[in-house]
Order: sequence, then C-alpha cells, then structure tokens
Amino acid sequence: MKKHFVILTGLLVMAFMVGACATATTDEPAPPPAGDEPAPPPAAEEPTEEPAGCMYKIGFVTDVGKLNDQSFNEAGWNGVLAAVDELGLAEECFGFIETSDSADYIPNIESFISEGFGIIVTSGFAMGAATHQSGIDNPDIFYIGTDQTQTDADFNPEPLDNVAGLIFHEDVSGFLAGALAGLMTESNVVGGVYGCPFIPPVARFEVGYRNGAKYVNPDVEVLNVYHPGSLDVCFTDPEFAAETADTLIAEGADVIFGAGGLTGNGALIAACNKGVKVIGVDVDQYITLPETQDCILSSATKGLTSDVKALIIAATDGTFPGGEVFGPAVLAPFHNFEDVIPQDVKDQLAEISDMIDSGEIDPCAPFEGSNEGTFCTPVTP
Amino acid sequence: MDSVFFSGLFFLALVKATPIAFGAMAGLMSERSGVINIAIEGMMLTGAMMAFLGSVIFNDLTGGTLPKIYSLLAGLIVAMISAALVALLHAVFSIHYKVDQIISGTVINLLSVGVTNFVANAYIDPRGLAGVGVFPVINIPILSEIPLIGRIFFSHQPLVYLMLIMVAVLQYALFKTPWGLRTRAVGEHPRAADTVGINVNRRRYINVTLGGALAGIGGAFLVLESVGRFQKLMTTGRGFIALAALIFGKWTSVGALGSALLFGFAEALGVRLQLGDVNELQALALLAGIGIIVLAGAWAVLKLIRRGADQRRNRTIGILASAGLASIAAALLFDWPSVEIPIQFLGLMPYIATVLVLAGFVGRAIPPAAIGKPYEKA
Repeated sequence: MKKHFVILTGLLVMAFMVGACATATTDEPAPPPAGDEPAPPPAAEEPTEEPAGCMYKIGFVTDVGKLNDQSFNEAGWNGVLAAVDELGLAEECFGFIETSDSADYIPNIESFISEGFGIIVTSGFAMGAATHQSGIDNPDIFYIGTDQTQTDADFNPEPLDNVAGLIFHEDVSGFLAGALAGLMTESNVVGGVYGCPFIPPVARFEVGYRNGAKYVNPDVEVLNVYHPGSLDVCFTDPEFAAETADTLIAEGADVIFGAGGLTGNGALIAACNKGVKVIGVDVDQYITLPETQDCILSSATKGLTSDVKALIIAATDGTFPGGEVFGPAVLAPFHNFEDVIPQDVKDQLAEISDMIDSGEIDPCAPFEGSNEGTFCTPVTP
Repeated sequence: MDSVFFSGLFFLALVKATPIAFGAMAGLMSERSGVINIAIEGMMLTGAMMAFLGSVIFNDLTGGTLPKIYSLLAGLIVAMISAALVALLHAVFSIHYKVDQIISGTVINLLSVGVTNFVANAYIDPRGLAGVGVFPVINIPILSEIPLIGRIFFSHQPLVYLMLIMVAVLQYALFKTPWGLRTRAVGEHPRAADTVGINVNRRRYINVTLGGALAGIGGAFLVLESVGRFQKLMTTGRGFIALAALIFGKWTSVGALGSALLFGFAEALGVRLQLGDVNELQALALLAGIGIIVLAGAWAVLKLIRRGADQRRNRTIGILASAGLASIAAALLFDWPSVEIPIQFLGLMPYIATVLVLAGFVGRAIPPAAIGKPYEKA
C-alpha cells in the first residue's frame, strides 16, 4: 500500500513537472514559421548591429497554446511579420515565445524586456493583467495586447499611453456567424463548440452566435458547448471538441461553429469529416485549415493581422494610441460557398451588419442562462 | 430524458474511454512484467503525430489513387511502430541501464513533447499538411439494429471495437494462458521465474515494447478517428489518466476499462448536460441511481463467482441496490427545480467520481511486487 502511494505521489509530481518542464523546452524563442533562420540571439552579443537593422525590436508572446494554431495566435504573429516586412527589419530584430503555462506570462514578457525589445505584443485576454502591469513598470516600452481590456485590478478603466489593448466586438462577428448559420440550416438545429467559458472574447462569440441565429430564425435550436476544463487544456483539446461536435451532429445540428484555438479546430475538422457545414473563427480558416475547404461557410474573423501591424507601425512613427483600440469584426469571404449561399441571405447579412452598426440590434443581449462573463462594449453608432 | 439522451451519453462515454483504455493496456503490459510505465503520455503523443504523418505521407506517395482507408491503416501501423520504438527506449533505459523507471518515463514524456512540437513547427505547419480524414463508422449488421444497445455498442469506428476486443484478449491472456502466467511471475517474483527458466529481461523487453504499440493505437485514435489532424500537445494528459485508470482497475484490463469508462462517462456528461434539453438535477439523480445499482450488481456477481458468504457484505449490497432504486424513483417522481450546474463543476466531475469510487469501493490496489526493480541475475 505504501509503495502504491509512493507511485501515485510520483505520478502527480510528474504531471506537474511535465507541465513545468515543457515550458522550459518550448519557451525558447523558436524559429519563425516560414522556415526562416532562428529568432534573435540576445542583443548583448551583438551591440554593433543596433544601428544597422534593429531600429526596433519586436517580441511576440503567445497565450497558453501554440504560435501556429491556425487561428488566434497565428493571426497576431502574422501582424508582427507584416510590420517587420514593412519596416524592413532584419531577422534578429523580432522573435516569439510560446507560453505553455499560465504561470509564465510575466517571465516571458520580462525575457523580452531584458533583451532590449522595444515593442512587445502579447496575445490573448488572459495575459492582460501581466501586460498592463509590465506597461506600468516600463513606460518606455510599447505594448500591444490583443483581446485585452485596459483596467486596473478593480476593473476600473485605466488607459496607459504605452499600452494598446486591441479588442474586438466578437459579439458582432459571432452574431453574423449565428445569422449565417440560422439562415443556412435545414434541420433548424445549429451547434457551437467553444474554448474556456471564463475568457470574455470566447463568451462574446457564444452569446453573439446564439443571438444571431435566434434573430434570423426564432425557431432554431442553438446547442452551445464550452470546454469545461482549466486554462491549461481548454484551448488545446481538439479531441474533446471533435467528439462534442459529433454529439451535436447526432442531436441534429447541421452547422457547427468552432471558437477556441486548437479546441475549436478539432470541432471544425471533425464536423467537416461528417459532411456538416462549419464556421471558423478569428482568421479566415478556409486558408488555415485546408481540411475544411469543402464545408466552411465563412469565419467570424477579427482584424488581428492588419490591426497588430497598424499598431506596430504607429509605435514606430509616434502616433501610438494608448488605451483600448477597437478592431473590425466581420465575416470572412464565403469561398467555395460563394455561389451556394443565396443572394437574399447575403443581403440579409449586410442589412443586419448595418443595423448592428447603427445600434438597432444589440448582438450581446443577455438571455436566460447566458454566460455572464462577456463584458461587451456597446457598439457606438 | 429519453432513449436518445441515454444512448448518446453512453455512446460518447465509450468513445472517450477508448484512448484511455488503450493507454491503460500499455501500462498493464509493462507493469505486470515489473516495469513502471509513466511514459504512456509520451508514447501516445508520439503515436498521434506519427499516425498523422504516416497517413498524410502515404497518401501523398500514392498520389491519392488508393482509397483513403489504406492511408489511415498506414498511419495506424506507423503509429504503432513509432510508439513501440519509444517504449523500447524506455525498456533499454530501465532494463539494460537500470535507470530509475520513473525518471526514464519522465524523460521520455519530456522528449516526446519536445520532438512533436519541433516536428509540428518545422515540418507540419510550414507545409500546411492536411489530414486524410477519419475511419468510417462501421455498423455491425443486425446487432446495430437493436434499439438503445445497438447505438451504444455496435455503431462505432473500428478502433473502438479493437479496444473492446483487446481488453478481452488481454484479460484472458494475462490470467488464463502460460504467457500470462510467466508475465505475472516476472512481475511478482523475477528470481523464481528465472529459476524455472524464464528469461526475465527478454520478457520485460517484449512486454514493454508491445505495450508501447498499444499506446500508439491510443494516440492514433485521437488523429485517425477523432480529430483527423495532429495538433500540438493534443493528448492533454490522457496518458496520465490512463495510468490512474490502470491503478484504479487493480492492474487488470477489464478493471482499467471500467475506470476508463467512468472517466469517459463523467466527461461525456459534462458535454451532454450543456445542451440544456434535460433537467440537470434530475439527470444526475437518475444516473447516480443507475450507477449505484450497476455497482451493486457487479459486486454481487463478483461475490457469486468467488462464492464468498460474508453476511455483512450481502446486507451492504442490498442497501446499495435499494439506495439506487430510491434515487431513480426520486428522479422520476419528484418535480426537480431547473438549476443550471456551473460548467466548471461539470469539468470537475471525472475527478469527483474517481475520488468517490476510489474511496468507497475499490479498496486496496496492490501493484505487482517486483515493480520498479531492475532484475539482476544472482
């Protein structure tokens, strides 16, 4: 019995160690995805390079999850790459760190600071507090935080001059995705599989999706399922999402919305393998998830890439806007479904989009049992 | 609260239990012969990635001319071989070099995370490789027509059936065949096994490696049956849950399947209750009642087999059965208030179920006596 306990204890310790050590193995700045040379060596080793190429050094820290998630992190990183391209920076002037444990947000940001990076992009709502605090401590460094509201510890607005929180009306693009699903469904059942319920952007997608589907089609049944796990797994569990999607399909859903990094991808691919129509998230997943090309209606995108790029450029030419910056939230092109989706559906979507912009529709309206953690900002007309 | 609800729930539980059961069988093979295997997670992760690469590359090489089932089978075989090689590494470390087996397992887990992330970053993502698809559902003729049962057991993808078959085969092989007797002898008392002419270390090598192949199938399941694509770190701790299921199932494959089903069931409930078409409290009460009755039934059957005549136990079984019936009756008769259970609690359920069952019903789980000790000839 005693031995048994020793083994079990060892097991638990091991589980934690794997988490911790995995951090050590993946937190090194890894090569950029395009197969380029490895990311920047420490600045101290080559100070003479500074005037030549590195006018600015740009660092990118992902949330728990991976850089190439075909979704959120990847879109932000592409914004960095686009800015690097425009600024003509050399390869040693930008790099990324993949966070694999939520305890490492601050160390990961600080490792860029200690290497002299002047612009730091942090990806994801969960890094907001760490980014904000780092912005207060280092007023000379520009921070761009995607999905991050700018508040102090008591949730009072606290904009900083050097920190831009890039946020999106996910409820708007979620609403449009829901409307599209509600108009395209034949079974009158649509489904959604989401990442963590306590991450507001995810909650906004969910609430918006349901409202959108119900708005165009009051009889439609909307089946939304969140990953019930902790932050360490709820964005990286495609198996959960795949099996959940299968369950929703068995319940009759014929359009599936997947929102939540690698978790959402699992739902999209699994549903597509069953021949069910899907709607992607964050980026145009027709391009990032080639498996889904035959069944992806559209994606509820955020203008992550263009806005991250614009903010980086703004940081370099002195027009950096501190505080909260709203980016666009729209549907991606229909691609293979351009001819399948009837014109009146497209017209209706355009009309809904106008009504949201003018404030006639509140895409984030709470309903019975809705997720309370949406923290929606009203769309100003 | 209809048959669709139940069949959906149990169907999903069986699917979710599959990779866990494969992982637990990998651990069973290895630990019954005396080698601690905490590297199941790493073997599954490697298997998952290689299943993806194997199927995609095979599909590319054949130019997509063959039906995709061949690519999927190629992926499965590659996954088994590669996970078996990872297991062989564990065997070499812990048998030949007599490294502490926990350390060796940890190293392999870390190595697998690093290698799979590297390959994904350097090869899979830049090339934008797309998965081949998943194994089709096979409906067993006639049996799948049975209401309720047919949907739960006989309308699955092939690896689920393979898992059920392997559990039965392994249970039989381990306890009814000479191979099983020798394996257990090596795990319990290697010196005695050696004196009757069993090559202890060779047997351990073979068992650990074959176990690795089983873990590889578990990993391949994630890619070839569930998701259809490899995603980094996609095992998300299922290898460790498999190990817990193994211990929990007292180092037998049927027991491991039982505990894997418990995990799978609780996870499936977490999904199913979010659909919001049933009264959640009523469903929980009903399922708890069914669970208790099943438990009491299993206990009674076990007692009959062992012909124990302990009067006190009989009473306990009786009390359990009536508690279960009472719970079901209450669920059906009482008008339950509609309460939304927080999602986080649904996520907790697999662990709560584990604690309850572990504390209440499993009792002592005794590992093989020689586990963790390298064997040295006197």
